[in-house]
Amino acid sequence: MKLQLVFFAAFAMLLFSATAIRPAAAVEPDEVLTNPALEARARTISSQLRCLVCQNESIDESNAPLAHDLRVLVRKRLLTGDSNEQVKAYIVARYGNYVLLKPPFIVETYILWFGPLILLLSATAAVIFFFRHRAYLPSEPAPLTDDERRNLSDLLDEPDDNMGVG
Amino acid sequence: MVVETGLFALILALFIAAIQAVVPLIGASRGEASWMNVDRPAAAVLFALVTLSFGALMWAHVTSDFSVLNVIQNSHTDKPLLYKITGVWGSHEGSMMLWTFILTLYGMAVAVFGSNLPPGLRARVLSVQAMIAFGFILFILLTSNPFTRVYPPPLNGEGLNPLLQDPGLAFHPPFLYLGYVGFSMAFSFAIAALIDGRVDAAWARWVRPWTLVAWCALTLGVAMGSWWSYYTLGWGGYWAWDPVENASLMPWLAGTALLHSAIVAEKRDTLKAWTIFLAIITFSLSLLGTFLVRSGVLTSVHSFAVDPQRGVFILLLLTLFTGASLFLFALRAPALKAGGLFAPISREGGLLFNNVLLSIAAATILLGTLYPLFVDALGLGKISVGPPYFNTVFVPLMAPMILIMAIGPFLSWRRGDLEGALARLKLTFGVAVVTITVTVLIAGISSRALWASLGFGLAAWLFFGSLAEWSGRVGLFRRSFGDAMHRARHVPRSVYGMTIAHMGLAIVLAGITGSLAWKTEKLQVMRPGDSIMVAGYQIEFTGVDNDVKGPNYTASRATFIARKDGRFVAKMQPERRVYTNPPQDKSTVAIHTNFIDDLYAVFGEPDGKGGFVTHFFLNPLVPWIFFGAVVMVFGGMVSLSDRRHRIGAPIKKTRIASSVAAATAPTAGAAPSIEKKALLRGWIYLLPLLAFIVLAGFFIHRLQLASEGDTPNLIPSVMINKPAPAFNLPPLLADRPGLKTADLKGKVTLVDFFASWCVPCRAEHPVLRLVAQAGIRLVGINYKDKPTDAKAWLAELGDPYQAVASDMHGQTGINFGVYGVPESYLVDKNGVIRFKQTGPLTPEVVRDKLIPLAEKLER
Amino acid sequence: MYLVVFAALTILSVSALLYPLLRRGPSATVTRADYDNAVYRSQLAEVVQEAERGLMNQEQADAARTEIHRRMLSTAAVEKKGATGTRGSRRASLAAAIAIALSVPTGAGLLYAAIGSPGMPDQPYAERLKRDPNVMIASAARKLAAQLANKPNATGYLRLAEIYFYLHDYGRSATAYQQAIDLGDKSAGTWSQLGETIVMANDGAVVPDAINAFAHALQVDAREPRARYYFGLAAAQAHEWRRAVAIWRDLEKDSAANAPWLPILRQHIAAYAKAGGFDPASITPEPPLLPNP
Repeated sequence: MKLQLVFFAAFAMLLFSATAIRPAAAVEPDEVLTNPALEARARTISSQLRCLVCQNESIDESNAPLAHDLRVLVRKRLLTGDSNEQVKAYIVARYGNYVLLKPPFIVETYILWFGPLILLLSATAAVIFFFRHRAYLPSEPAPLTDDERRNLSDLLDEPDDNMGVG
Repeated sequence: MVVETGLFALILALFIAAIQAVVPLIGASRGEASWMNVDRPAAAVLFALVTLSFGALMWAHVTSDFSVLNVIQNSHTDKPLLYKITGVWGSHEGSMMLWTFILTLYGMAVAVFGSNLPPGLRARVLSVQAMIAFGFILFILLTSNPFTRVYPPPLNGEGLNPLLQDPGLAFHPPFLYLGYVGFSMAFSFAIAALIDGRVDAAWARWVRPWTLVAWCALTLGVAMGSWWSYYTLGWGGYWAWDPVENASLMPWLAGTALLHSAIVAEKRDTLKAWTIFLAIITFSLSLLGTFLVRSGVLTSVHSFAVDPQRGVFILLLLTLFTGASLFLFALRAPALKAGGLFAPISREGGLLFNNVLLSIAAATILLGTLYPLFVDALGLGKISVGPPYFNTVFVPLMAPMILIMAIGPFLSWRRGDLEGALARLKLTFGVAVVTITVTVLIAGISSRALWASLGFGLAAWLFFGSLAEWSGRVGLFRRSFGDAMHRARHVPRSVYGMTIAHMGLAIVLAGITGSLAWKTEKLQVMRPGDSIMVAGYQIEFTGVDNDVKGPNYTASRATFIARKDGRFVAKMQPERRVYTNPPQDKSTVAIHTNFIDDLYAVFGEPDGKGGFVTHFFLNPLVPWIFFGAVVMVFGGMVSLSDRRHRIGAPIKKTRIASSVAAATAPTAGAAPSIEKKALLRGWIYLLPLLAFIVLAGFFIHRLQLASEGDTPNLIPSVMINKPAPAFNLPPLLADRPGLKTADLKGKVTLVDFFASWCVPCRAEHPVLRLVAQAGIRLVGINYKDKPTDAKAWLAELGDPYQAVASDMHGQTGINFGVYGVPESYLVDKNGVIRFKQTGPLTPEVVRDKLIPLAEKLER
Repeated sequence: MYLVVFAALTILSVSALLYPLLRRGPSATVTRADYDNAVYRSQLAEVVQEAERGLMNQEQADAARTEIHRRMLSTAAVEKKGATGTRGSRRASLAAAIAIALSVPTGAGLLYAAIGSPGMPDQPYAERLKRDPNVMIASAARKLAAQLANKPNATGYLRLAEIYFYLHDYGRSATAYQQAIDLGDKSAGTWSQLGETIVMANDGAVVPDAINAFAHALQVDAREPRARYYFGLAAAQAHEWRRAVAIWRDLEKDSAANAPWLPILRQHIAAYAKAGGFDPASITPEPPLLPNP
């Protein structure tokens, strides 16, 4: 088991060394479709599909051979008349939801998608709670009482050169 | 000598840090002045020792001392001097040294500037700083010692990754760390306040400038990282929501929130528990980022070489610092008395609102970054959370925040006048509406144009709203010009800082919107002499120089002349470089900017027929993103220069503290009594700790998996229990049959994808015999290979397959869900896939999994 | 020497820490509230300034001032209630000082002994370039390589290959030999040296690439001794010991009596004959069989 993983790591390294270090535009001229509308759709779709052998790159950005094959496949499917969703479904059927950079809205991702909303609601509740549990805000603070004034004069009655420059 | 002194100084620093962590703390709690006073000399000595140590490491790098392992691994004599120096923090060990150096630098700053801090507070702050320093120095010494020696030294070093030999990447870590580590100041102040059980005026005054310093540095660091991505990665992307980028954005968002809540804490003596919480969270997120990047829990393009052992140590530090501080928070925060009251609509209310949104944004990024790991840990399969998710959730959070950012400064403290504020924003509102209309008129009605108009509208709203606030404050249109200018001079610097920083954000927003909405891209094969048009620019490819020599690389350099309307605009020379030590390829792009848009040229591979792949982009408004970030930092620095931050120390008095009659004081408390609810509300303060415990437990689980060899890269197949996809492939060897789907039926079959170019396939090959011997039908599909190579390969190693088909274009591979050979699929008698092995088969897998399963399926 | 530096560092550091503990002096009389009041006074001054500049109306200014005043009062009250005052116990400070003075040097010394390399000198490259012949040679090789990249020639590459071979950098050496051959030096000696370098790069295994190079050498000069020796070694590594001994005996027969390789050759013949359990004299000398090109 261990050995296998070592091999797999070595193999993954090989693939990455071919992709991560050579930063050039991934899409090759011979892949580009002549129909600009279809090509634009192809770019949109491929920027939403994850390159499986890379780290956090879409197939649109990756130079990996598999990413190239998938880009070509996306364009082929578009040429045969698939909608964007059909193309994605085609690839998901083979590689699973992992290829979607935008996770689908399924039970497993409810927390992911509702999370920000839940946080927002609970924060709103907390803020309302915060304001509700504070006493009524007087328009202006009550003026100092005589006692307070007397005590204060003690505090303020100190040399002004306390305010040195630090 | 120098190197060993460096190590000894670091070891000495460890013990000094221990003393500094313990003695002043005890002194502060027992009121022993002489014990507390150990804090400043200790901080100075700690700084001096770590500086000496860091200097020694730098010396070793500059003099190419190959008796130091760290130098061997990251340097080479041919490397330019600049990169010998910046290479010090190019490695994990060196970057941790930089981290520690900056940490002690901040400690030193407290010692130097801290004369106006109450001694007890200062002693506790420096003690907490020393605890952090102790943890990190121990981490360096035990797991990442940069002074490990080698004898005999090799003749030369292994060189530095060419990607790191770049000014943008070389200088962005120091700023990033100045930011990350700078938040340790706010953290230390927060812990000191919690130990003390009170947050006083001096506390809030002090936290703000240090948070501001850290915020400025982090803003610059993040912007530099983004700029680096922009000109390095070759497609003009500046933000990819990569885990490492997220790790820097989370503390930035939390730190921005902290910056604003600290204002409320100082001015109004309220939101104190929240400010302390943010201080803890901001630094914890910095630590979490360090952990995620270096432990191998997440993978990223930018991550360091990962090491689970280091991961365990960083997790330990994270748990210690964050866990202990959140525990202290749960214990002490409920007792912190709230001070000044304010209405929901007020300056404080606006700041609170922004705080809430910024915190939720940070939490959302954390959720998105870690969610795939959670789903995986719960056995729910693998999912990806990429840029589309973050964009979707980030925009609705940030849009209202920017709306409020323009209104907030118009509201007065305590109780604001919303109608009045909006009335004064009428003109700004008009400008925003015009911006939106013009954008739609230019770009037409499409979803992209609508988003663009929204972005520009918000940017205009914020930019002109900030201007309007300033002009209202100085009375630009209400008073004589001279009077207004007089008033403008007397507006506090911190207010100017706010206006400038907010305008900077507006510029960034406009830049992001523009680059998303109107990017133009041209990709083609060009021969020298060819010309093309890119968004109004005529670009002529004049030639290639294949013989460019750099200090440690050779390159092919293309020359393009860009013209607009026949006039010369720029000469652009992108390169493809081959570095020698270590041997690696790197492509450098050429960018011509006119500060509104960037013309961006990439020089690709030759096509073998005299042409070259060339790729051009016109990236509109991208320069604004970086310019806006610099404006934000400038705003921060202006605010920092405000003299309010330089409050003096009280002079020593001859008489003991004022003899104020305390009898009346309790009634004077402005805060209403809310302590009776403390118990009831106490559980809220426990929530962060509980959440953190869950998170830490999860990370421990993750690290355990990593140490057992689990990699996050293995993707389970969705093809299990589905019929094998339809295919009909030609044979590889002429005298043997091909392969089609129907052939798989009737008998349990192992379909093995292999290729002669695949290194692990060679390792797998002998194992295939075991499969054949076990009576499982074995067929091979030769994946994306040249038939001649594959035939030679089988001739050399032997042919264990009953049939070998050729999948030249990889289409069948994709249908099976192959993402990297070798992969093998066990198909049952009915042609349904029952098992998949990703990566090479091993004797263990064959014996323990494959054969028993095949026997079961055969029955 | 390094012990002196370490000791000096330690003494300096520790004495800086001990100074406040051992210093005799009046303890501070400034209370915590004084620090807060300094801030409050600065806030009051701000309120005054802002009101003067009309940034705040009189009502707001009054409210702000009252609030700050109240805070000053409550701070003073807290101070009064929990006044702890600073104290200083000489004896405790002295104990702490002694503990620090003992623990820091001991701890640092022990940890350094555990993970340091005491006495190991620095090895800056410039120094090694003056003293260490290997470093000089390596540096010369890099210069030569840079020159050759500009003006390639076979003699230069041959020289470079020999230097790399001397430095045990077999990978680079093989590349340089190949360059020399590509640039026209197709002599038997260069081919066989290429082969030998490939063997060295493969930890002594005579791999197919090496055999190929030796075959080239023998095609140029069938008597080339090095190539013949390695053909024998290749046979030996394939467990064809009789064949190996035959090739070597063939080489032995042709060698001059003072040929430097003779002793080792004879040693090999004896050893392999013994391993195979046959008498070397019974084997007829045979030239190596060249593989089909």
